[in-house]
Amino acid sequence: MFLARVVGNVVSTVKHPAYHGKKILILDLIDKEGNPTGDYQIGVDYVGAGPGDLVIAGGPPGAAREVFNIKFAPIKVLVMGIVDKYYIGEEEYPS
Amino acid sequence: MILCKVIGKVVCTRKDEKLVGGKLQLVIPVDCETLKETGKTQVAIDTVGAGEGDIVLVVGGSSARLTPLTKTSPVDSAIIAIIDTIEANGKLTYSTGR
Amino acid sequence: MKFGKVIGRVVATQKVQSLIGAKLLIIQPLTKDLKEKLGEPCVAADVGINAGKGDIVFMVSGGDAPMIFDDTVVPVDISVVGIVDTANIEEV
Repeated sequence: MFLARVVGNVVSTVKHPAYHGKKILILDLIDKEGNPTGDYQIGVDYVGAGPGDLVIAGGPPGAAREVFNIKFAPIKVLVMGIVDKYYIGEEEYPS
Repeated sequence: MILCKVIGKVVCTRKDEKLVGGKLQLVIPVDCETLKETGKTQVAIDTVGAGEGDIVLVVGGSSARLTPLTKTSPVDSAIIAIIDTIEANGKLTYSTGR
Repeated sequence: MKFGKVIGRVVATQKVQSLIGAKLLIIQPLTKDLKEKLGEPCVAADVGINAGKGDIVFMVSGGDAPMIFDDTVVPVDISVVGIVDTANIEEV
């Protein structure tokens, strides 16, 4: 799992049935201070995240299958939580 | 998956018993247009009978174990196809003539 | 999961049986703004999406990639899962 900032979304008409009706988000991976690392991932939302949100994303193979209750879900990255804040030692982020 | 060229083979007498029967090939990633070597040499288990000089398709990670030959083997790299033709950027860049 | 552009395809007669019927596309991974290349091209499996040359797609890699084949066990580590109509990046 990793921390990321939602920076956008993807619109797709032709896609695997597992993606139908789901929000596909573009995620900027961030470092521990909350700055973008330059790396990104595409993730599928199931918690109602949107642009600007700090989120937890990731998931082991097969997780999407359980979450969406579909037998075959070729989905690797799930957006599974919206982060209010996180701490490194006493330091609170986002500051 | 990545396109690789078979450049040799590895022979081991003493090895994990689940590797017995599988040929171990030395492969190197190649560019899809120039076929020049682009990466580091790796060892892949051969599930299709490739030979030296062949351009092959190599799968990595846990998926390497999803062939009948490798389902119980401790492998993370497998040759799953021998390439006949490559078409890249509108050009036929490789053909075995098959 | 990353964006990529379809730049070609490969054909293989001699292959793992379970791969029969899948298209094998050569894909150049792209940055999130779709403007720059990201690393080396890869080969991805396509069943049912039918992406063609020039299409911008999104792909899934790793242990989830074989799931495009339903209950067939297929040794693939990258699969095409959709064609991108638009990718919107919002400046926040």
